[in-house]
Amino acid sequence: MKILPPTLRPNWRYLAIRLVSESHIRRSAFIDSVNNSATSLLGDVTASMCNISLLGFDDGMAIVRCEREWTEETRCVLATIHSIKGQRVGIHVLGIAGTVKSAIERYIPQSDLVIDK
Amino acid sequence: MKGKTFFDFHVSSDAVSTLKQCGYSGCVVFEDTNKSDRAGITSTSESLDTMDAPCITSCTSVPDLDLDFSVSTGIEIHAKNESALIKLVDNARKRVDVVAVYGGSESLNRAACKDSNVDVLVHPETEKDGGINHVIAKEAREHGVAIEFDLSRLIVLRGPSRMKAISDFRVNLMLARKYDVDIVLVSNAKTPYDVRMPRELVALAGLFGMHPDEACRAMYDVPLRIFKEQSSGYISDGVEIIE
Repeated sequence: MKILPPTLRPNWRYLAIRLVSESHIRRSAFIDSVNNSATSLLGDVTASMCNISLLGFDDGMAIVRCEREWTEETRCVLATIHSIKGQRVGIHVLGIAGTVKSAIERYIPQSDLVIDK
Repeated sequence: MKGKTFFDFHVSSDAVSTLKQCGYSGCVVFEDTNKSDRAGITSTSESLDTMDAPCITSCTSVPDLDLDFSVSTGIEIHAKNESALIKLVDNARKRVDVVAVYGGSESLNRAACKDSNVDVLVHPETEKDGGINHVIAKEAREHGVAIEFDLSRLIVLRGPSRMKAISDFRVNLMLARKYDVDIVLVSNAKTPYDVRMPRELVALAGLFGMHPDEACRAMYDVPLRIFKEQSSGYISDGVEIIE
């Protein structure tokens, strides 16, 4: 399908996050818990507007994408995750940036995160 | 919000080192009863415990931290009735930095808000409502008692119980605004996994209609006022002993 012109594309924000957990958390389990938390806290309608997706996940660091107008709601969604598959976790949002590159350079420079294309 | 400093006014000692990593500039440590029982309670709390209902106490192990992170100790009083509450508060006042009273019924909430020795009213929520009404709010304002908003309820609870928590907070916030009562926002972190960054707490407070500026005030200005009032030279607003 033809890509939308730049003015019609959504404005994204990228959240660099740190995951503190008891043991290793799998990527799929993390995605499930973010989606469950979003629909539980915000409801299906608002969660669809936030458009939260996970771009990169590695060794306790991750990049999460959401729409520009919904960053506070996305922070709430991430803050309300307290356990994944029975393991205690805490998610800390280190910062928000306008591009993936700047999010990694500014907030998680030490990690070798691979971003999904 | 950048460059501001925040205090977490209600945490457990296990969470202190994580709080420092998350950019807080200080915290007040409360210990829970079960842990104190296991660890062996200090002499001050033993004398309190023998008096009446079990108290939650502090003064146990707090890790060594740098000077730019302040750790204060607090005591949370669980009283059965109002007369026991007054005795326990008087006893606790001289021993710790922060005296908090665990509410949960209208009479206890009102008794706590009438006592100038109390700094914070913790968990005012009853089964039916938020536990604060216009009478209690006026008393709290008059005696300088702050009301705690425990955001761990939003983090841990799900479904109808979280819905009730948010609506309770909304009503309490409305009353606190109307009668100009101080609010403290806390994470009530018991383990390192419960700690959230300050911006997350501000965002969570936004869920029940709290403005970010109000939230910042609840995490910095109000704790500072309480610390100042409990400092040794303080007499009243504008009057202080200078040596």
